[in-house]
Amino acid sequence: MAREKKSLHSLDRREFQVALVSVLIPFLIFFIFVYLPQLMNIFYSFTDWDGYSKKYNFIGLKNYFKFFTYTPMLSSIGNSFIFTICVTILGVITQLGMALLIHRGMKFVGFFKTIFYIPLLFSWVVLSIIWNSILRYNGLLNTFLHAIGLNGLMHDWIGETGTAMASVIFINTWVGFGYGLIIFLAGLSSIPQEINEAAEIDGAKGFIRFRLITLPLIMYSLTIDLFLGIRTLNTFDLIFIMTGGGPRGSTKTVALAIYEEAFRYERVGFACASAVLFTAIVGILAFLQVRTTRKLEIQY
Amino acid sequence: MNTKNLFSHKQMQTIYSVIRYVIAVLALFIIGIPILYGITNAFKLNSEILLSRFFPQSIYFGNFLKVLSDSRVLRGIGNSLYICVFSTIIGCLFCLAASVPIARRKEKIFKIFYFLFISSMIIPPISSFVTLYYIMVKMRLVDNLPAIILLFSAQFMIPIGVLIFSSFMKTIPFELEEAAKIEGCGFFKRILIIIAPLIKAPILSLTILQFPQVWNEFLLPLLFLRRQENRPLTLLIYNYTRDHESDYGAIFALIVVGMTMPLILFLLSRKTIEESISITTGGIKG
Repeated sequence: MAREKKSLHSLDRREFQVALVSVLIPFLIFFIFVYLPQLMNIFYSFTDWDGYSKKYNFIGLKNYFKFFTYTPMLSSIGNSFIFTICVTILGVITQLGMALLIHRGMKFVGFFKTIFYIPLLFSWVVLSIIWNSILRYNGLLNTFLHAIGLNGLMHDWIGETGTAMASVIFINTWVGFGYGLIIFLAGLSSIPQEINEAAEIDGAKGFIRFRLITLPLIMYSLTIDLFLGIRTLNTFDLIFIMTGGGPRGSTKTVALAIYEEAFRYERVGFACASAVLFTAIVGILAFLQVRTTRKLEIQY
Repeated sequence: MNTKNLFSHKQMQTIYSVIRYVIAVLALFIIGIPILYGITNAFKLNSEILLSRFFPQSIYFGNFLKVLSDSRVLRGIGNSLYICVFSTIIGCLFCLAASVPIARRKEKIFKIFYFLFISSMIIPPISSFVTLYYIMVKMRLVDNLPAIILLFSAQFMIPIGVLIFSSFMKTIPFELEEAAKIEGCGFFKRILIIIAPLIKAPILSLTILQFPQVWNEFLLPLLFLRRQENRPLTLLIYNYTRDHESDYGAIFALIVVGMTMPLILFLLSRKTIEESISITTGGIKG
């Protein structure tokens, strides 16, 4: 009996080793491609490396101070936050609004959901070219505005500083709509029927019912949606392809600024410091957001 | 003044229902028209595209003939398929190898691995790519397709896949494995006999969610696939718009070609996508 137990124990030890190897192989690959660059970011952030020279000097925290004082970087941080805040707020309003509208007693919900999801399937390259053909000065939107006599509203939508940011915010909201809708619809359908009935009997209606009953019960969906919203701080493709950060830097996001610092202006040290700080900012925001909204979630 | 006096309850409901449909259909147009416009443009002559009218005057297939007889385009489609298929397969294998111990072993170290895999989802891709570019250049891995495939599976498959796989694994009763273990069935044999046949669902979820992501990825091939013959379709479209700026018809035909693959996959798997979204979002909660 004792021997059997012992052999089972050694079997388990052996199994532990096998399990460890099994995790380590993918982890090694993962480490090289994901965590090693982060560590190297930290290392090079203290240098003035340009990306190709063999030599570089350690310059302490200079790059980190520069991140908070260099005007183009600061304005791109501002742009990123404006972009993310607008996309998230617009997203929650449109997605949640549509979810509330169609989640009960509506026909063809499946069909609507399918169509709404479609923009998410395509590459930003594809979507940017299509939107470019709609928003350029002689594009579809202006042709339409001209045809219905609203010449005053015609703009070079992505070529003017006043409208470029609004345009990319709109496009991003347009793409993300289907995903958020599915998340909110799932949240709404998970509300127990008894609660809705009880609310009905108590005469809770309209906004009060939404505020006091529905919203707390779908807080989890909101957590997810806001979490995904924070990830739009990373937006690169749309801006890079559609506006290149222009006109006059008005749509340049942090991701694009870091890309340009590294690969265009050859200030790799500064790009690395920016990347480190940017990762920290996104991480902290995501952590705070999830913690705050999760506190508002109710268990039932 | 009360609305009750103007309309009966039933009338109110009908009005509400009409308003609902009107708004939903309006949203349908806003979402659908840009996509449809991209598709109709592919069937127009260059001169007609410049007019920016929605409906084509006549249907013209020349753009597609031109694009699909271009060997670079065929090569691009091939590259995209090659990268997607292999990074999905390798990604699934990695996720399986990582998730089984994470879900089954109770040692703390596996929790740490899990945390490291999952928390990387917060890292902005651009933060990884700056120094990764110099690592890849130094190791001479730029334009090395197998290395790029590993990179794709690490970036796109592993974090979300570990999440999906390990949360799925927790739903498989442990007793079954315990019994096999006592019978002397080894670790890999158990994976093969007990877990592999059940794992089809999460593999499907991961593939459906991430295959299009790999297909559509832009920044990663832009940085790491420099040579023309290695470029996937997405990058090829991007370069085509810069090199042949005024050949609108061909550009839109390329776009339609690029849209086909994810669209087919989506239409085949609509139901699973919703489930996959709820699995992954459920995982973030933990």
